[in-house]
Amino acid sequence: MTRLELEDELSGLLEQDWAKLFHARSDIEQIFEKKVYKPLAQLILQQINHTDSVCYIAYFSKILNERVKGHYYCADGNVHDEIDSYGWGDFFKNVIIHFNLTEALSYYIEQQKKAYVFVFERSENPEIRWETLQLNPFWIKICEGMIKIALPHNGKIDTSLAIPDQLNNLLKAYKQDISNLFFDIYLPGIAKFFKWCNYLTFVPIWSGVKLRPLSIGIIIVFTNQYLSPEEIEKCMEIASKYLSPIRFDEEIEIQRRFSLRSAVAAIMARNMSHNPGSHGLAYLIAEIEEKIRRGQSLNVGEEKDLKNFLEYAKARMDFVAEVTTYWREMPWLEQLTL
Amino acid sequence: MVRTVNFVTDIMLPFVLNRKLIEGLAISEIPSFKADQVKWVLQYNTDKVEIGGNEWFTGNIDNLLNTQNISVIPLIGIPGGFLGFQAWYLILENFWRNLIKHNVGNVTSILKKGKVIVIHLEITDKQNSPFWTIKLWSDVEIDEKACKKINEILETGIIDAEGKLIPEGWGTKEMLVGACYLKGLPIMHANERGDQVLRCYMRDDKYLCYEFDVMKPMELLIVGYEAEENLQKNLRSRGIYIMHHVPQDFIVPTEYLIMPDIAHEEWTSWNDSLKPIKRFSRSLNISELKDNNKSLELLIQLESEFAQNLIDGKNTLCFILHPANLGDPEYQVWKGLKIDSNSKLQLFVIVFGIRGWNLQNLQKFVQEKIQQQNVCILFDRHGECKNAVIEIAKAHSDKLFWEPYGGSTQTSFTLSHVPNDDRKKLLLLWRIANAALLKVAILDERLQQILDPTDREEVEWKYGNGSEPGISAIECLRFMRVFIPRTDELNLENPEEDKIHQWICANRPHILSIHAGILDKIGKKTPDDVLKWTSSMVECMDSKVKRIIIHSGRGIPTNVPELKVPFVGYSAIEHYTVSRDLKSKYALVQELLSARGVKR
Repeated sequence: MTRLELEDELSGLLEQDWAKLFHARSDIEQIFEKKVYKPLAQLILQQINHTDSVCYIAYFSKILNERVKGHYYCADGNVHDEIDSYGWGDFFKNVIIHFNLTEALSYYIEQQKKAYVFVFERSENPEIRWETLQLNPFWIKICEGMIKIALPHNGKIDTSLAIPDQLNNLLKAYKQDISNLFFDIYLPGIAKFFKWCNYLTFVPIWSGVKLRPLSIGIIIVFTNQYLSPEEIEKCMEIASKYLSPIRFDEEIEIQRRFSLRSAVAAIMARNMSHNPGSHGLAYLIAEIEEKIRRGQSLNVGEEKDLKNFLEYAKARMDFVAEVTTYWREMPWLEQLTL
Repeated sequence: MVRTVNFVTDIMLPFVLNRKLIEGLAISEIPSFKADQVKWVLQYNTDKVEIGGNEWFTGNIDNLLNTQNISVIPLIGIPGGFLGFQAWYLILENFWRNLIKHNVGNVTSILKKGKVIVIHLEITDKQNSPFWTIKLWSDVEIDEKACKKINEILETGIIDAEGKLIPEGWGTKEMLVGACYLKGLPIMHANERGDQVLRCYMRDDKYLCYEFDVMKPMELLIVGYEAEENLQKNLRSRGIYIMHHVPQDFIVPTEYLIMPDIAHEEWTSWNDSLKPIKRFSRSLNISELKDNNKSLELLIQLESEFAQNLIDGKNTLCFILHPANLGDPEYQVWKGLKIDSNSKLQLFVIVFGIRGWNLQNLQKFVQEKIQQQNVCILFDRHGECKNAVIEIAKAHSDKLFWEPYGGSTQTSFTLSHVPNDDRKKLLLLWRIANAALLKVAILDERLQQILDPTDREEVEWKYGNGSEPGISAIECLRFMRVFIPRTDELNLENPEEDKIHQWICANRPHILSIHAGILDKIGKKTPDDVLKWTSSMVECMDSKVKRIIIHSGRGIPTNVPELKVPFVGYSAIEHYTVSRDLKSKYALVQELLSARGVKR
């Protein structure tokens, strides 16, 4: 497909009701495959002129609270079966389950930290170094540099090597004490991709402004040549252009969810005041006042009734407090029955 | 996450008998209205149970329940346990209020004829699904216009496009929120698909009927296995779920979890707070579970395995049920249960004066069993066995559990209204036994002050005819393996970290539930502080089962680590511990077992 055809297809993204699609969940992966990942991967590979390369895109959904799964695409839109099979096979089962760099990067961005590009390079001389990136002023505000990791074929890196602070900071910010997972499990897992390429470049995609950075996802480009800063910039531009509207739709939906939660709290507070309050309690108070006026006390039955009512009201207040802070949901349950 | 409850005794009875609420909601329109003028008919298939009416407010509830077979009404699953009951009450309360408010003429006319208002709750099986469908209507005739209006409200949603609350139909909207919660749906469904979550229609052209779905009990999740779709559907409808992989941070709603290899890294990276305490590692033939009896046998095996872990595997559990007389419902339902002679669980149903049983013989029997290294669990109606067992329980706290209970109480309901099927009955017996065995410690200054107030005498519970001395509530709870510190032992109003640590090490509970406010007071103000505290504290808990739960009465406080420490609402803990009649080790433990890590 030509660039124009791909762009035309991707423009359809603006017409979708993404919030609804994410809530429906059931078809989201297929929709992403067809309408997002496949044409976008093709467009990226065409535009950076690495048509013999492979591209993997991970979009992080805030509504689903996980990335939408996708395939490893070649420039012609076909799935690279071998990489895909490793990526969703052993790499996923044995590596991603322990440490997920795309998730760590995404988390780091949302903590208002500057993003990094990660480049893994096949090399018999292991090395980890930090480099500044010569990006245009717009991108450099958010992505200040890259971490280059030169890996031997077996992925083993001597941890006595100098490790840039930026990498240490990212690992620590994501989870405590996970650097061994990164070095012992993640890097050897990544190195196995070198069977098909020389470089893996992780390009973060984000949106928003400094105080409110929204991580959208990650693009991983598998190439035989080094990606230049201009090519990295292009990846960022294209992905950001097409994925931002999806993320924007999700953000609005999330705001609506919080609005709804507040509205539900308002309804429950109002009805608490109306039903057990102005009906139940008001009647009860009047009854007790009458007893006081007559110098009588409550009999056992009346005390029991009072206790039942107060327990009910107390549990209701507790329930309202819980619902305003935590909504117990199991959306997968209904999904199973569709 | 989801607790299995008895719809009749746990949900409906407290509501129906809440006289002040029922009358309060009606009295503005019908000043002379009495709560006994409404009857609730619960129906499953053709079986019906009726509650309400004058005798339910004046008579013996046990007797009234016994005259009907309430086990015909199926058990239901409630997200959020005790607090989740309130989701039901949102529906019932508003239904009742609107029925009175909008139909004064018709209601009054029924009452004038000397009749009662009848409200129907019909449960039907939503075939091959994890849900029951509930139909709720009353026999008060209602204009069709009301139905149309309600449907408009349900379709319009709760908030508008800008996120603003649409201020009308408050009661209907609250019912919708309740229905959404009970089905475990995301809150957005209440806004986007209100008319699907809560369906409203005219029944027989004259009655306004609401329909919504609630969960069936959620028993077992099996991960790491696959099964064909039809089998999965069949199993789900019986509360058994199969998942090959679990999504990240998956919160297990079931009581049991089976993993093929519990130590495999894929499962260990999944936070324990999101899993049930009752988790097991074993190989399974999934297709065998299609047979309902096989799946029940599996659950019985799991309970038995759990119990054996708690009692070191070598001892036998001696379950003694002591009803006060032969007419007590628990005697009737348990006396004939046959248990395999090789079973690690033995059941003795004894009534004094029958087959030579008396206080002395019981004492001798319990002593012998304990000397033979058995663990005895004694449920004692009216606490009549107190004098026979109290000294033994003091000397052998690890070998004897004693829970006294009265009629029409939480515990008597648990023991009296049981499934008709013998396998299900046996499973319940194991569950009650395991709940008894678990040592639960509760650190909460409010409970401490209720039971052992600093400004007056410690609370005592009286059993028997009332002439005998009472028993300290805290001591009684200890015999039930529920540990709440006395004020002079550990003052929780001014908590000190070291003393809490010492107290936990001394009692070595399996489950510890601590008030978030206490953590706050000892300086654990952030989720990280709390996590460090919990990991240091589990070290001194019982090695067989360890679970720390945080409870609070103000929703999820900010110091509760997300998805890492189970949480439960305060009301539930209080409800099942501080009252002589409402206390129930089984209900308390079921509530605690259903607690999971939460996300704000």
